Amino acid sequence: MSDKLKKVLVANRGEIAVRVLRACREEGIPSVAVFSDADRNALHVRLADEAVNIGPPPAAQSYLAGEKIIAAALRCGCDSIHPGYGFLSENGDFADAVAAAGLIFIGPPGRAMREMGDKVRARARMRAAGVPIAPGSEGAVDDLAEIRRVAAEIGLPVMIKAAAGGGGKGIRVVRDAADLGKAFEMARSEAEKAFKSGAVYVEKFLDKPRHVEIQVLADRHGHVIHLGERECSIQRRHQKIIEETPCVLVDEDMRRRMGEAAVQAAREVGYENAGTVEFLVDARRNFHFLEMNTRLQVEHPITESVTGIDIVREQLRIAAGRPLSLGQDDVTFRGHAIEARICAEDPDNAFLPAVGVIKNLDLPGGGSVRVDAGLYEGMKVDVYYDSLLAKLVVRANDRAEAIARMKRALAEFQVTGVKTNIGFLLRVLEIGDFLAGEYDTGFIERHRAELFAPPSDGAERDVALLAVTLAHELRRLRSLRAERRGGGAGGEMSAWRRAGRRED
Amino acid sequence: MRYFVRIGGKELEVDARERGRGLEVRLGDRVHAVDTAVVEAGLKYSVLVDGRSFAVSVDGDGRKLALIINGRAYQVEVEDERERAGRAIGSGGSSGGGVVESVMPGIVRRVEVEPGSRVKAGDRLLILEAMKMENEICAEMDGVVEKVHVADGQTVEGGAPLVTLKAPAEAGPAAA
Repeated sequence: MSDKLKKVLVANRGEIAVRVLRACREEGIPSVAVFSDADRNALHVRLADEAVNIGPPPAAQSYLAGEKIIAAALRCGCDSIHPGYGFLSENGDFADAVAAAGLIFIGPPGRAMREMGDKVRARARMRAAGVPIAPGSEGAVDDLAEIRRVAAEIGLPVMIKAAAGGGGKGIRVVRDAADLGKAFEMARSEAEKAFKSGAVYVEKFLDKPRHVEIQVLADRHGHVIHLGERECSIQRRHQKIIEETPCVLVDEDMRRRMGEAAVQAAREVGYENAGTVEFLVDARRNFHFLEMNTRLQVEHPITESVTGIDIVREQLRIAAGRPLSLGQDDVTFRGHAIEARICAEDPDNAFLPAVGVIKNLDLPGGGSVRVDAGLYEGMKVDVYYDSLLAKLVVRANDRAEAIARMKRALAEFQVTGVKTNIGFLLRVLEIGDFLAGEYDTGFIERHRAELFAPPSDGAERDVALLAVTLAHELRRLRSLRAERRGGGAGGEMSAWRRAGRRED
Repeated sequence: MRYFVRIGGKELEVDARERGRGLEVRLGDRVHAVDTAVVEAGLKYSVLVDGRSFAVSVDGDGRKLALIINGRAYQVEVEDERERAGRAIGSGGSSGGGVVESVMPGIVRRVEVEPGSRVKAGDRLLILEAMKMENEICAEMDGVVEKVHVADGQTVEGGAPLVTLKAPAEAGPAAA
């Protein structure tokens, strides 16, 4: 095999397709984008060397239609497919089908994905490999007596979780032994419905856990390294919105131990390419294996910012069969990085996804500010896909500087035409506990009152003054336009003259 | 021109007069000099309020405005004195009831109210699945459910009527 991929098909859309296509361009590898009927105008189509329509807007008929995507790759003479995240990225059968078609799947082998996808089996393997896991049942449990025994042994509260779980489905938290029976029945029936398997297991429920994950890279030659941690505890609706590295809790020794555990986890399942091992960290800084994300992670850029390693380029090189370009000792961390996810949603309305057409877009700039986005003016934001519009990533020498830089950059990021969470993100960055680094996955719920407080009187005055100023402008603009349309030559002249004077 | 601005639950009265190149704006007992420059007509403005600089993006028709001011979003309603006078003649104003519409296409997962249900502002009316997520559709005001337009499992388009609410006591405009 040559040491460079021939042509890469990017089986995704939005910011991550743009991210991968940019890496291909920089590596000098020709690229092919795929797009649904809703995405003909999308940025990723314009940034690729070639583009193929793969069907109607619903993902099931386009971005999830594996056979169409493989056919497109073969037709375009690709030798490889990058799945991005979401869609087909963690589908082991798709990875196998890509390989069976004689193409390279830029990610782990299907077998490793399946090993990590089954939570009970993953737990058992991690335990055997010496990776710390949260206390709980040995494997799946199917009778109440066994559940009671495990709960008594590890102590309440516990979680009853679906073995095939994901997305928060089939999970019950039990704080009182009397509720075990009911919770077991509900978790089992929910798991049955959602995953066609009623298998459940019991795990200790950690109060105030922090979600800290380790990035790993593994090549085909047995080298596995880690790139440090990412702290991802700021979540709404169980989805991350702000991530940072380093984590304030993690010192050099803890980073080394977590890193070694993550490397061990990857080795245990024969992992290859980029992946992320997620841990829950309790208040006493004990860490427990949660799961492995067998793909490129949304928040990978913060790791790139502090290590200087281009993770997607490493992915392309690993997939071409090259050994890792660096060893563990070559990985160093410089400064502090934060990512904020800018989503089309309405924080004041339960974070309901928002739709619309992007009218005005101002992106932030300046030193150490990175925007990964598929955004452009005129872009339609509709309901078919994820609500993530852009990722704003900043780096600075330390955490305080990084927060200041993020606040500055968020304030410059102006989007109209669709509601976004930018104002909400700014508020998070002003909460005392966030500034002190004292937060866990319950942060947003706990600080609800401050996060959703109405504007202060001073801010309200400014808003009122600006609102009237703008309302006055818009009324003037409307009458100008009406005059221009309706009036004769004289009216038109005066309208233009007035506009000219005002718009000097 | 006198303007009435609604922000959140509050209404503020603001007076704006053209003065030279800019505006003279009075709010409460203070008068501010406002200088406005058009960056992009109807979309983007630079506003100096007594020399303080604001980068403002705007979306709206002049009455309902979405403002982005230094990154923060505000939803405001602005009515000028002529519009208010016109509205007063036209009708008694909104009674607080109305049709709750779907803001996006989706699938109705679970309707949680029925005709006659009394709801408070913020109570959940139904769950709509869209964008891979379950979204709570809540009442924006206290009221009584007059009609439910959809059923569990139904696919709806954006703008489709979901639930009609009427004000608890159809008392008239005095309460508003």
